[in-house]
Amino acid sequence: MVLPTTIQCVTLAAVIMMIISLIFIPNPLCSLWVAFSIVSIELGVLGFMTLWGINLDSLSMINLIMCIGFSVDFSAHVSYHFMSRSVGKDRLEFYRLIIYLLIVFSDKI
Amino acid sequence: MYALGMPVVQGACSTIIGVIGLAMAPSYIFITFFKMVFLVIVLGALHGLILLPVLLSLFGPGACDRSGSKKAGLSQAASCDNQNVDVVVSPQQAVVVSVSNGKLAAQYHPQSENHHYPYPNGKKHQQVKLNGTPLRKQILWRDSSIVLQNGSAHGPGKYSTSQHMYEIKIPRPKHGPLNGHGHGQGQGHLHGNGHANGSAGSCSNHSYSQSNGGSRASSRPRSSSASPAPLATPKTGPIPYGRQKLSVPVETSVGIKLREMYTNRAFVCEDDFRRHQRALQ
Repeated sequence: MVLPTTIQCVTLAAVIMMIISLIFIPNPLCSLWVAFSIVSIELGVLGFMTLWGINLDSLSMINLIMCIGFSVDFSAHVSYHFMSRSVGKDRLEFYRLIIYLLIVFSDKI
Repeated sequence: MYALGMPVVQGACSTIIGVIGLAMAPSYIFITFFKMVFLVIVLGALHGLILLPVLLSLFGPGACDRSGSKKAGLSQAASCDNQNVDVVVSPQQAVVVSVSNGKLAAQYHPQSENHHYPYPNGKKHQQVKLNGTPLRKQILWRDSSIVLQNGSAHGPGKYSTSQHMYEIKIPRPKHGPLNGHGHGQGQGHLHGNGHANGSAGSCSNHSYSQSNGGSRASSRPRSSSASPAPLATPKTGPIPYGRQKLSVPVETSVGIKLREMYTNRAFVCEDDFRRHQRALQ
């Protein structure tokens, strides 16, 4: 029960993060690398869990799902700044405008 | 990555320090929590600091000019519309920048037979040496449009750039500044940009590049100390070789400020420097 839930959670988190990073980092390749790094970090954590003698019970599953958030953090920021360096300024302004509009309209709703 | 590397390290370290307290608790829950958070932070920091920049520079956006970005080491600034810029650092910290996208390096001043640009036309891969140490061949220009006007014949240097920032990375010369006494080949190869073509210009100053590489440039007779350099500079004429104009301050005659020699960065102008600093924040 625990293992399928873990696999499902990690996969879903990677897919959803890919979609979200596709919105915020306007490059499909960057979002692909973000998702790849999430899955890779989770696999590394699973491997180290066996090495350090942590069983995959419900507790460690919850921790694993929590730690997806941490693993998103660095990779998303790094790839976003990578894109913001290489993307031109006006295009970034365009996306910022879109994000501002989204925020405003979500407030109105 | 210059701006982002240190915050990532700091964030990882602070998170681990904050979580260390959990490791001392005798409960299985807390120890498990600490172990997993520690693992995730360390692995995430390694991914973000090492794996992702490598992957993004190799296969990410702007990897179309892959060989050029590798050579220049400016992988963050790599984009598809880059131009190749040759930079020669002179001992007087003058910078010769030639936007060599095929158009600019091919410029040849018609009024002087002796004047030839030190780089062969159209050749992008050029070995530029300073005192025997090879400089980096290509330095990626961030944007495709740049207009640099050589105003040394017209007074203080003028430059007009587009709205983007430029960053030139110049490797620090290993040896000290060579004074150019012994070599007859030491010459300030100046590139008079009298043509107001408007599209792009070249901005150059006296630079004692000892060997410029390039078969064509070295095979041609250079204006050495034997050939007297013209003293007076006509307005549109070629800018003379030689050392007689070395007292001209670099920043006013070239318009390129070699910003920080020891951080290997030069910025085209003050506004670009400020803009770059703003963009880093």
